Amino acid sequence: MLNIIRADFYRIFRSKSIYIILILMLLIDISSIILDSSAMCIGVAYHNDSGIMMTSDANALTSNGNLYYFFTFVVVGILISDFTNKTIKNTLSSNCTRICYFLSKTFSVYIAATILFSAHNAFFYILNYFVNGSKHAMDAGEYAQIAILQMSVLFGMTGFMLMIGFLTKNGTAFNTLTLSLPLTYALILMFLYDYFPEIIENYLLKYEMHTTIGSLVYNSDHTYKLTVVTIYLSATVVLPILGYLNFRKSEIK
Amino acid sequence: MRDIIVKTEKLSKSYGKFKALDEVDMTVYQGDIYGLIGRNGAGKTTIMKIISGLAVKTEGVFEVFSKSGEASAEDKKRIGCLIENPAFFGNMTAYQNLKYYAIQKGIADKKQIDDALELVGLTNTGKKKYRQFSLGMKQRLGIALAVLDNPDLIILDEPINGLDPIGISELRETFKKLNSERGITIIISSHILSELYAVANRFLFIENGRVLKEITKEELEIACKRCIVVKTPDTKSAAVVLEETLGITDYSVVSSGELHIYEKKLSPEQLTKTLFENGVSISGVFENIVSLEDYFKSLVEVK
Repeated sequence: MLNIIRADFYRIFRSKSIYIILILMLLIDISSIILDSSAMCIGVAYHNDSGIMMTSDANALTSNGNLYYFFTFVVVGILISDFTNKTIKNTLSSNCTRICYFLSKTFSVYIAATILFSAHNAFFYILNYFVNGSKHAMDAGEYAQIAILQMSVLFGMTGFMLMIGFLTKNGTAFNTLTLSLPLTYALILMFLYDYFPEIIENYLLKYEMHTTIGSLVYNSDHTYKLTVVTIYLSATVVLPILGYLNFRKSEIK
Repeated sequence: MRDIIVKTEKLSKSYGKFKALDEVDMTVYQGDIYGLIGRNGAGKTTIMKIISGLAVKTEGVFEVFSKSGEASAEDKKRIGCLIENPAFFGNMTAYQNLKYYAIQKGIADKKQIDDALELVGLTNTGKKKYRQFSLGMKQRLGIALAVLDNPDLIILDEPINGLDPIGISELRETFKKLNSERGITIIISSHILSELYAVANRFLFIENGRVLKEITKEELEIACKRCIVVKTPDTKSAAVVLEETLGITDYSVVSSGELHIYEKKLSPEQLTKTLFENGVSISGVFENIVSLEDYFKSLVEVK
């Protein structure tokens, strides 16, 4: 299993895609910091709609939901590419069993996602600290704590992507389902809101990915945080297993 | 007695109502070059996919390295496969693709990659990406992957597709060398019967998912031998004439009205004259050469 994970990282770092993703993330981070600074006078923190003071890095934390799209690249690069190129048959036929393949790919995706998430948030914090100064940056420990909580949410969504990947074994179907999910989900909630406002607001919207990511930044309710982490960590484990249950008996074409 | 590397018993595979494999029995011994012969859709690839773990059987049993069912991870490392079209990452070179799989397999000695590429004649591809390869080059790389890490069993599904005649000849010699020098067991399928005949020592003829015949090369040679066919109601008298008058022992009585004579120096005219002179009544004498294709067709028609 470790060898398969090593091979995946060998291949990822051979391709241009990872570097494009990293550069893109850095550019977004840099422009976010610079634009925030220039728009609000350099180094000035601002308040959000609830009157809570928001530093640039806190603001960036609320936008971590957008990393969902970067994580789809991770799943595509590590897992889906094996299906679209049909290279999975080389691995399964003369290297490992299906359970080993499933575990290796799952761990590879989560490790890559952790590296990407950590690199993005660490870079943003450090850059903001240097550009805007310590007075306009969150406490490092608090920042890290929120980021770790948010990571559970994104891992849950990554678990969903892994499930879709192992279920569909097809790049087109995977992209269609995963890239359209956030928008489709929001549209469905908007449509259903008139009929079931309480259910939508207190359950579906409250624990929706983007809402949750944002809420974790300034919501100090421990019960809410515990519920979020429980839901999404369960998804992290359960959803890929559901994908595997289909994958283990399916024919590799 | 040689070890059995692969064995199937009543192996069946169905896709809904369609039966791709129907109670296939086959045995592959250590050191065999085992040829699977059949038309498109006969079930050759399905057998290979089940043995290599890419498809799940519906019924029956199979053993690989004397262990029932899909090979364990450790045993899979003893198998090299090229099933259907070769598959690699288009943005990587030949060396990089093999290195990826070498890392997966835990191969520490990177010289094995160079050896595999040299074996199939792909050492000079340099920085050329896989997506720029010709069909023949892709096929060669697939074979290089199959032989990487010196497996005990290689499964090759139509490996000579896309190769030119010289490439086919070189590959034939490579397979023979791998088999004779390293003792590797090879299961190979092909449409080109003559190529399979040139390299394999045992054959499985398959049609519509059913086994037509499992046969050794020696038996196939006899079946496909050039012979003179004699049709006579009196095979006993004809046999006596052959042995006592012509001194021929290389013949067989195929049925109550037919003999096949394999003696190369005998002509149909000479035989007819001798039988007639000795009072044997004959209804037909003709020369017959059974090609592999004819032999295969005869098997298909009989079933």
